[in-house]
Amino acid sequence: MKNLTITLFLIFSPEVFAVEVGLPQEIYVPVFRDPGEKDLIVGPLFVDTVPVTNLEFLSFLKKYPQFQKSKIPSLFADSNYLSRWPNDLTFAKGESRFPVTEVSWFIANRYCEAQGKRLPTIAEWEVASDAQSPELESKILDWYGRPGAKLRNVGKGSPNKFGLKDMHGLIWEWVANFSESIMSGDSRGGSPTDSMFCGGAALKAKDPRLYAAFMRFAFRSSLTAKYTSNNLGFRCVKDKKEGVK
Amino acid sequence: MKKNLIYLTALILAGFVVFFYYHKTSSEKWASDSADIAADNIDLEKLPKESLKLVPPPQVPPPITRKSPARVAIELEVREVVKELSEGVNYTFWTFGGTVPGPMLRIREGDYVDFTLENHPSNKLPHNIDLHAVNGQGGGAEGSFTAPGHKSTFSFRALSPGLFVYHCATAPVGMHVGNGMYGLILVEPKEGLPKVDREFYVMQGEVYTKGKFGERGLQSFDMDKAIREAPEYVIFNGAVGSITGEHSLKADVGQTVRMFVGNGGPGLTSSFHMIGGIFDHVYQEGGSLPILKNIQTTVIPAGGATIVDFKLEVPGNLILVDHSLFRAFNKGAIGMLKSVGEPNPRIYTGKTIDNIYLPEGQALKPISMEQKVDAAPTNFAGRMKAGAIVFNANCAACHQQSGQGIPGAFPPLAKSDFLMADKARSIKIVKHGLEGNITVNGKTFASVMPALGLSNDDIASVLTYVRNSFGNKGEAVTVEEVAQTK
Repeated sequence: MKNLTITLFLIFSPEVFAVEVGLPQEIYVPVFRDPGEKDLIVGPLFVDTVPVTNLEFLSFLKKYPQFQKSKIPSLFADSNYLSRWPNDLTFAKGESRFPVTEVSWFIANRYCEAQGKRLPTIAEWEVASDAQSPELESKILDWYGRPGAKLRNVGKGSPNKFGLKDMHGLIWEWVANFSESIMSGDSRGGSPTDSMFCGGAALKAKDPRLYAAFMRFAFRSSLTAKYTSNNLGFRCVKDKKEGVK
Repeated sequence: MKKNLIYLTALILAGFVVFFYYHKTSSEKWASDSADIAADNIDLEKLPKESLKLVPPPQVPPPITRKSPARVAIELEVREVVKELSEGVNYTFWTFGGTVPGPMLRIREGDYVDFTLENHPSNKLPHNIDLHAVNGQGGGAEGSFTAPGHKSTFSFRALSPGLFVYHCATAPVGMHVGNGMYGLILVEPKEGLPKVDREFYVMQGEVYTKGKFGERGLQSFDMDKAIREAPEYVIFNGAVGSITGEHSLKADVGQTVRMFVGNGGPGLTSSFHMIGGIFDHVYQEGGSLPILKNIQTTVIPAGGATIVDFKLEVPGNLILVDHSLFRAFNKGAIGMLKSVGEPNPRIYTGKTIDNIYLPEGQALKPISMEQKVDAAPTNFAGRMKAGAIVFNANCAACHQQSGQGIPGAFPPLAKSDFLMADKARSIKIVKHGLEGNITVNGKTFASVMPALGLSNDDIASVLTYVRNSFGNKGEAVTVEEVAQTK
């Protein structure tokens, strides 16, 4: 009887159905660091279980018409903004549960704000995604290496150790401080911005074998805040305040 | 005192020599091609404009006929594509222009290039390009770093003539290059290159697949093999067999051929060689002057290039290889240039003699080893036994198993009047060999029998054996008799 209660409790507990997953406080060891730079403490946080979908984004656009594709100023998004959408308030047929992509950092940021949330930082994303675990490395590398990613409904991927889904194998995700990746255009050191890569990277990298991480940081570095890309989406997080569930 | 004076004089003299040497060299003015162009102050806005038409490898853009610099627009698109690496083996290549290597670029010394790199929207990764021909941050890598679905433009002045590698320089750099992101850019010297009949573009590179060489299906990148620099594939022009068989390079006998050869790496240095030909000129490491002549194998470093040229004198298939031969034989580093035309026996005949080869004394070593194991025979039976072994190993190939010989070629030992008539002569022949006509059982033989290098003991045994086999009956031969024979 007691077991059944526990089982029922687990089944109907908010955690299982939650659109958010609690991320405990964790230590993030930077992939690249300057001398004296310390490990970061991340969390505790609530992280969206899956990336933001077209359907969710549609309700945001209805509320904030200034971000619809016909109205968006070119300062905030490049010309490919929401290019999969046939018009302002219609996403492609059958794609309601697809992750929304071709959204610029500005707009992703505004979306999260509108939900009372924010974009995760690099450190938070790296911890939440468990992307640097050796078991995932080669799987992630394979996905990064294959062009023309096919989009699909969110939530189909198996959950990672925190219960988060589709952090790999579906889309890239915006992070709040993407531009702090400060990877120079030349990934082998000697850049004016004090490159972290190749020659420089080998000196500063936690582990020069983290190829998938190199690629993720390279990708983030190649972006500017108004860029959109057909496999770049996002998810939001919010801080978990002490004493607040 | 006198000694000191000598030292002092020597020191002063040495001082003069050193002074003279430095004085002499310092009077020579430092100069370079690139510095001259950099300082020429031409008006870049007034240069005639043109755009470079890209052609896939092994094609080479046509030689530049302009006599002055131009402003050249080059657009190169990055595409991540699945291509066949070998029969039944696919690989996701990251490419410049959709081919591995990327198209060969050809400009002239002094040209001003507006270079645009386009990263196709379906790509998943950012890319850039480092052209070794560029003086500037990252060879253009910094100015061309581009996210998927975007394009970047930067401009550069081609200061130094030569053949240069270009490649992607986005982290992890080795993986981008290993996945196919390399090509060549030729900066023609002002005076151009000597005119030749045919030009080809060949580039070596390695592929690090999870599966072993030849393992079918879509293969993925193996980071461990890459870091160990142990590729499964070493290939020319992006695939096993890309320039062999029906895809071979072709030229005619009598034509002059130039090859622009690069090595994308990312890991291995190439020992580039053409089987059946000699490079008349080698522009070592892609420099603008042919500094080597008559070269068999030339080294091409990873991220380096070379220009070779030669004239086709005879027909045949010239095989291009990395002469680190396991790469050629087991990993795919083979190409082919078909030389088509009439044979010229004054230069090469092809096979003129086709005959059976029967090696002499091939088993010398095993026999002597065997002799060391067995004590030297002391009685007749022992001699016969050892003699049979020596005979089978050294004599039977020509004189045949039953000593019957081969008519017209090798004289018989069986019932041989020549053999049995003179024991001393037979010892001498086995010991020192025989050349010249002999008559055996009424037939003349003109072959050569080499000295077989047998030990005195073996000679005693084998002669005892042949003189008492095949219907022969004679005295045994002793070691002493052999030893005394000069």
